[in-house]
Amino acid sequence: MMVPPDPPLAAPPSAANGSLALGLPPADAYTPANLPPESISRYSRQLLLPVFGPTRQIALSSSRALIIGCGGLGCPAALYLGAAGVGHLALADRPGDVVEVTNLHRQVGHTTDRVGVEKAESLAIAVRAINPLVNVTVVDGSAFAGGDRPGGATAEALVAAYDVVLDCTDNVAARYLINDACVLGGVPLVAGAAVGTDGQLTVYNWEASAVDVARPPTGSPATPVVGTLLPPRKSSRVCLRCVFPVPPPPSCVGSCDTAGVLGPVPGVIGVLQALEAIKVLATPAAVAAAPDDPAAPAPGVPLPPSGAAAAAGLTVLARRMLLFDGADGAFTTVTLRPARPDCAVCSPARTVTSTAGVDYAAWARGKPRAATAAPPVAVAAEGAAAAVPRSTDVDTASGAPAAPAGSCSVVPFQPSALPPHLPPAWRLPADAFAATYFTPAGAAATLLVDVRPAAQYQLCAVPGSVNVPVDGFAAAVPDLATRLIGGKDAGEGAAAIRRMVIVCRRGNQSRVAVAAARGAGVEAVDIIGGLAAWPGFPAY
Amino acid sequence: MTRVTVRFAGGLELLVGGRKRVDVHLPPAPSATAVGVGGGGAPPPPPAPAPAVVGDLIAHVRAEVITERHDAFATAADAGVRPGILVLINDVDWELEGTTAAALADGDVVSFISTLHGG
Repeated sequence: MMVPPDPPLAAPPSAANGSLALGLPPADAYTPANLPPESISRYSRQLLLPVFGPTRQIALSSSRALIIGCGGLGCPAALYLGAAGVGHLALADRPGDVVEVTNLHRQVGHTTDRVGVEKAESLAIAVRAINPLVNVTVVDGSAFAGGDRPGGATAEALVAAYDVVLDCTDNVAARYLINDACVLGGVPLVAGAAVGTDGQLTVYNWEASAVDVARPPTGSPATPVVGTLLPPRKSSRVCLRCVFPVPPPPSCVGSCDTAGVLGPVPGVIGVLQALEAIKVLATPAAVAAAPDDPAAPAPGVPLPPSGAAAAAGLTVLARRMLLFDGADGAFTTVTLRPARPDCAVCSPARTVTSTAGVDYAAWARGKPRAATAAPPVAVAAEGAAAAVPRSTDVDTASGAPAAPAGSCSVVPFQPSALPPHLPPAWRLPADAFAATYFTPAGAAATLLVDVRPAAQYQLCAVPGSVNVPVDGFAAAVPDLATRLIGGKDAGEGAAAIRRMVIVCRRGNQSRVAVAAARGAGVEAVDIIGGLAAWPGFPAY
Repeated sequence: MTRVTVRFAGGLELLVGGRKRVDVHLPPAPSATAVGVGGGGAPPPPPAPAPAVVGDLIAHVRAEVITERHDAFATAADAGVRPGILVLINDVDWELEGTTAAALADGDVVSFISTLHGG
């Protein structure tokens, strides 16, 4: 009688084929049907975590997440959410928004050899390389950029196909549009933001459990919410408009492109967005929605589940906001107000019932409707932003500002949101001017004044230029005027007068300076498009 | 005199020369000083000072603490602050405390945080 030999010790039958060869059941016989063997291995370290475990992994692996914006926040959020095994990960960005070399210090899902590739496509490649078990798709982000397209789905219809949305965009208009879409579509929203060394994070449209907001208000107990005749809402499900019903003035909005950002700062916030999304998604779908204001949801609008995660030790950051101060290395979590009784989108008194036809970009600029809509600017944006102006200052050759300048409460300050319009005779094309400037006569006949902030001037500058930041420019005009007289190469008999030429980064602040100079009697001109249009000048 | 600590974040610190925490001694509210000039005899007991409220603090900070771009904090006509600034009293949204009418006590920390939109 033959006795089967022992299996060789060096090759345990771990693979299904090996098991079958030995007459043993396949590996998936040992696991639940919805948690295949490869998932056991891949997710073992989070499966071992008692607060997470197989039930939540199964919920996560059967859930759908939409990340809007594939930049500094979207990259880390997608990498971690994909690595953790979300079932379906959709990545949206503005069509035509491609990876640029200036993105790579913080947008870590992209690579040097993918510069020029659409960001959503590039990030999808990165996530698939980490975890082939995730269904990664690329979504046209036009609907989140405020551009209504004939026949196109509304933003709320698009988000309704997902279990959670991560707002990783970079501008005010997109953030309000996505908030409204998520409220109307009944989807929780994980909203992150970062500029400079600061970051902020919260989860909107998710019922805060009693645990979430356990800290009672200080001061007098049970202080009523004042300033409204409407009764307080029972809901703890707040949205962006509950907390910030009015958008900030464009002059007070900073962006990474103008104010700068340290890469790990959006990295921290993006990773935390992934964490909050995992907590939201890992809430088993069987958990019913907690009761909300009876009148709040529109008929047929589903409410996301809530509350259950907190019960098991995973507390979603709902009705709280996490503040990250990267300069000090400090985290603070603060308690937000409850739902606003007269919220424009999530209250029974709502006035916003659809995102279709709403010009969010004009609204964010402080205009209900743009009578003459500015044409879309063909620039790459980090977030989903096509018709939505990005928050950076972009010049156009026409001199008409197509987007609000990036003046902000974060550096650098800029005196006005929109630079003045100058007559064409006061403006020079960058390439033609540069060609004459680099001749001896041209340089001698020019006082080139660079009005960028000092930090940018130190970064790179045109030889022979002088730096007078725009903030102090007007006061410096009389002194600069004295330097216009007596150009050393002025020919015999020629007026030894130099021309003041003003340049900035993109041709917006230079217009402010030209207007100031001419107001003081100096016939200055500026460079259209600024140093960004200067041939050979380093791009930054 | 109410002593509170004012925090600036989200870029607002740049309106105060980069300082993220500023200790403020808030003068008594006008209602507390306008009362009590008596004639002869024993002076009347000082009236209980009206507690300073956050609205007083905002006006004081705008006038005395903010060093540039004052309207990026609050306009003179505003009762509150400009849109997009989250106001916290001891890390709780001021909407829970009565907004501008919230009373302040010594040691309170009032935070002004500009909301961020970058990414």
